[in-house]
Amino acid sequence: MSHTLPYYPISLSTLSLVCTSLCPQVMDLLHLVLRVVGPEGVKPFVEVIVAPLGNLWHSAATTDETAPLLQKRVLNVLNVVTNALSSEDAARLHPLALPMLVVATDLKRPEADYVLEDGLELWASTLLQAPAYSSDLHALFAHLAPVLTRDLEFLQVAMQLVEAYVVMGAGTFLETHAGAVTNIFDATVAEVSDKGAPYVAAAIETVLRRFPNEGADMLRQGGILSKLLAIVMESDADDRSGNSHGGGVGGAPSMMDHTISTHYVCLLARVALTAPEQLRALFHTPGVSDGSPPEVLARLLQLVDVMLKRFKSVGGGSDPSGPWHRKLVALALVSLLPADPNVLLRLDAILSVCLDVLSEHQAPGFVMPSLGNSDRLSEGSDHSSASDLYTTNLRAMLQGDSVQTLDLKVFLQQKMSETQATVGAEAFQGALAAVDPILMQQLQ
Amino acid sequence: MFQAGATGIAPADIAKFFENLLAHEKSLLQAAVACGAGQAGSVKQLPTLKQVAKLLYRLSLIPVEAQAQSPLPFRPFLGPFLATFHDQLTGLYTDLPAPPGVAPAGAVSASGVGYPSTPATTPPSLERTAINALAFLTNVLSCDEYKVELLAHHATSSSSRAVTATGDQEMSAAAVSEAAGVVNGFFTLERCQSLLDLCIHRLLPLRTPDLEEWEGDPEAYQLSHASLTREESPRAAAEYFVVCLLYKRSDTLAPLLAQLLSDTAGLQAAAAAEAAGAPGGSVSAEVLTWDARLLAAGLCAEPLAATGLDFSAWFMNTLAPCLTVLAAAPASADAPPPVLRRRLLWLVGVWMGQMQEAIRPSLVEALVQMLTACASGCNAAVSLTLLRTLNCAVDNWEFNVEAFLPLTGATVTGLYGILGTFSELDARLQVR
Repeated sequence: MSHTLPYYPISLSTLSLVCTSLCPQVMDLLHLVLRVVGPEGVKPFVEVIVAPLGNLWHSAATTDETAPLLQKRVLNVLNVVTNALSSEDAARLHPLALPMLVVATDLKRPEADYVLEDGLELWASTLLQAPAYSSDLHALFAHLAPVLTRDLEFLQVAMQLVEAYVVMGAGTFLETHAGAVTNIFDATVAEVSDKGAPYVAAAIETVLRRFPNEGADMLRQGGILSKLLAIVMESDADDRSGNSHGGGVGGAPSMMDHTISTHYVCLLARVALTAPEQLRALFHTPGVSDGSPPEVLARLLQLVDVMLKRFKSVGGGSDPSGPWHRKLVALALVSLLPADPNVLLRLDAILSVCLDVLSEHQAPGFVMPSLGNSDRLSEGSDHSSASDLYTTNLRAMLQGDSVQTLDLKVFLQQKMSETQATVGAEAFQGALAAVDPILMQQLQ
Repeated sequence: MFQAGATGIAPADIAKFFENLLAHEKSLLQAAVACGAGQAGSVKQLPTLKQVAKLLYRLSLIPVEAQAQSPLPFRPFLGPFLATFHDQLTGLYTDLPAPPGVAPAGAVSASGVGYPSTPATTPPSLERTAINALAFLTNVLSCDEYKVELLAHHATSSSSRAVTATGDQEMSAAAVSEAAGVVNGFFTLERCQSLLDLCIHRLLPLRTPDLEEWEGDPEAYQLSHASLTREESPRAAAEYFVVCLLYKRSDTLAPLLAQLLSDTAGLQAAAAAEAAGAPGGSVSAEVLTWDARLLAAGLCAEPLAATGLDFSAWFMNTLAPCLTVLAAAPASADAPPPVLRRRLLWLVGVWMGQMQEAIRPSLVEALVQMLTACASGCNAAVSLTLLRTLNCAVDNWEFNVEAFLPLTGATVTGLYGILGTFSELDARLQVR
C-alpha cells in the first residue's frame, strides 16, 4: 500500500504548519460550511478544498501533541468531501485518504486515540463510495479487528465496515480475512447490549446472505453459530423459568434479553433456510449436543419452538426490515417441516406463522421492502441510484436473497409435499387433522 | 448555618456574626486604603497590603456564599450588605482615570496580579474583593427568591417550601415580599443608572495591561479573553452584572444604553481614530469607550431590541460604514490592537439572529470579503472573532444556503489563507 501523500502546488506546500489554536477553529468552520452547502457547494471547489489537506496532515504529524486536533479536522473535511462526490470522483481522493486512514486506524500509533473515530467515519465513506475493491482497501481491513477487540465504542461504524467489506470484497475478502471476521464476531456477539445487537446481527446476516454456505461454515467453525444458539437457548430457558440475567423486573425476562435473542433467532433461521447442512452440523457440534440422535433432535425442536415463540417479536417497533425477517422465519420453519415427524407436530403453529406473514403481505397498502433493510437503497436516498460497487453488489445480493425470491405459499406447498413423502400419508393426515380447520380454510 | 433548627445555632447569634463580619470588612477596607496610601512610598508596606487584601477577600466571600446558599434566610442582612458592597465597589473604582489609564498603583498591581485581573482597584490588590462585591450585587439582582411575581411558581399548593439547588427552603409570601422590598428599595433608578455608568465607563473599557497582553500575543489574548470567568476577572464579573442590571431595569436602562449607542458621529469618529492609528501608537480613550458601549450592546441584545432598536438599520447606517473605514485601513504588524474592528465583528455575530433576513446575504458576503482580506494579514484576535461571527451566520437554521453557494470558493480560499498567514507569522514556524 502506498503511504505517500500527494503534495499540491499551493502556498501552504512550502510550510510546515504549526498547529496553533487557530487551526482547529478554521478547520471547524470549513467543515461546517461544507456540510451546510452540501454536494452542490462542494463539487465545484473540490480541488481548492482538498489541495492543502495533505500538507496540513503532514504538518500536523510533524508537530507537537496538539497535532491530532488538526488531524481530526482534516479527516472530517475529507469525509464531507468524499460523501459529496460521485463514486468515480471520490476515488480520486484515495491517494490522499488511504494513507491517512492507515495512520488514523492503527491502534499501535499513539494518535489513534484521538483520531480513530474520525478515521473510521472517513473509512466508511471511502469504502462505500469506492467504484472498485482495491488492494489498499483490502489490506486496511486488518486494522478493524483490533478496534473491536479493544472495546465496543465504535461498534456501529465498525459493523457497517464489516458489512461493506463482505458485500464488496466477495471471495477475495473472505479468503484473506475469514479469521479476522470470525474474531470480530467472537468479540462482539455475546458482549453487546440490545442497542448493539442489531448492528452485529446485520453484519452476520450480510455474511450469510453473501456467502450462504461458506459463510455459515465459517461462522460454525469459528464457534459463532454455537454462541448465537447458546444465547437464544439461554434466553428461552430464562423465559420459561422466569429468571433473567438482564435484570428484568420481578424475575421476568428483560426486554434486553428478548431483543438480542430475537435478532439472533433470525440469524439461525437464515442458516436453517439457506444452509441446512450447516445447521445439522451445528447440532452435532460438541458443546451444542453430544451428537446422539435424541440430543440433535432435541436441539432442532428447541430451535423450532424458539422461532415460533419469538415470531411475534420479530420486526417489532419501527424495524424497517420487519416484514423481511418475519418472512425469513416463516420460510425457515417451513423448510424444517420435512426434517423430522416431531416438527410436524408443530404444524398448527407453523401454519399460523405462515398465515400471519401472508396476511401481512396481502394487507391493503403493504409494500414489501424488497431490497431489505439497507438505508442506502431506500427510496429517496442520495445513493439509491448510485453506481458504486457497494450499492451495485448490495442490490444484486438482496435481489438474489432467498427471502426475496421464494414465494412463501409455493414454498409451503412444496415442503408439505416433501413432508408427506417423508413421514408417510397416515402421519401427515394425522398432523393435518390437528390443525385448526379455520386456519386451513384461510390458508387455502 | 441558616438552617437553625438543624444546626442548633440561634438566629440571634447568626445576626451577631454578620454584624461583626460587616464591621470587620469595613475596618479592613480602611486598613487596605491606609496601606495603599503608604504603598506608593514604601515597598515594605506590600506584604501587609497583600495580607489585608487576602483577609478582606475571605471575609467578603462569606456573605456572598451565604446569600447564594440561603437567599431568604439571608434577607435580614440584605440591606446592610448591599450598601456595603455597593460602597466598596464604587470606592475601589472611583479613582480610575479614563481608559486606557490604570489606577495609580500602575499597570500591574502590588500583588503582582495584572491581566486578567483588570481593571485594577484603588488601593491595589483588591480586585478579588471587587469581584465578590459584583457577585453579590449580581446574585441578589437575579435571585428568583426575591421576586414576588415568581412566588407562585416556586411554592407548591401543599407546601410553602420551595425546592432549590441547595435543598428545600421555607418560602412564604411574607418573606419573599420583605426581601423584594429590600432589593427594590436599594436598586433605585438613580442607583441603577449610576452602577451602569460605572460599569460601562470604568469597569468594561480595556486598560493598558489588557492592551499589552493583546499586543504581546493576539491569539492567546483572544482565546483567554473569551474564556475568562467572573471569578477571575472584574471585567467579566461586571459583564454579568450589566446583564442583570439591564434585565432588572430594562424599562429605563435599555433606553439609556440605546441613547448612548445613538451617537453615530461619536462612533464614526472613534472608528476613524482607530483606522488612522499610527504604528507603535496607542489606542484612544474614545475607541475604548465605544468598545465598552458596544460590548454592553451585545450583552443586552434582548432588552435593547425591546426598546425598538432596529439592529438591521443600525448596522446598515452606522456599523457597516465604520467597518468599511476600518477594513480599508492598512494592516500593520506593529499597529495598536484593532479594538473596534474586533468588537464590531463580535457584535454582528451576537446580533446575527436579530438581523433582517433580507440583509443577511450581503452581510455574509461582507464577512467573506473580510476573511479574504484577513488572509493577507490581520490581527489574530480579529481573525478569531471573524471566524466566530461567520460560524454564527452559517450555523443558523435561517441561513440562506442558495445565496451563499457562489461564496463557497472564496470562503474556502479565505480560510486556508488565514491558516497560511498564521503559519507565516507564527514564531514557531519551521520552513522546509
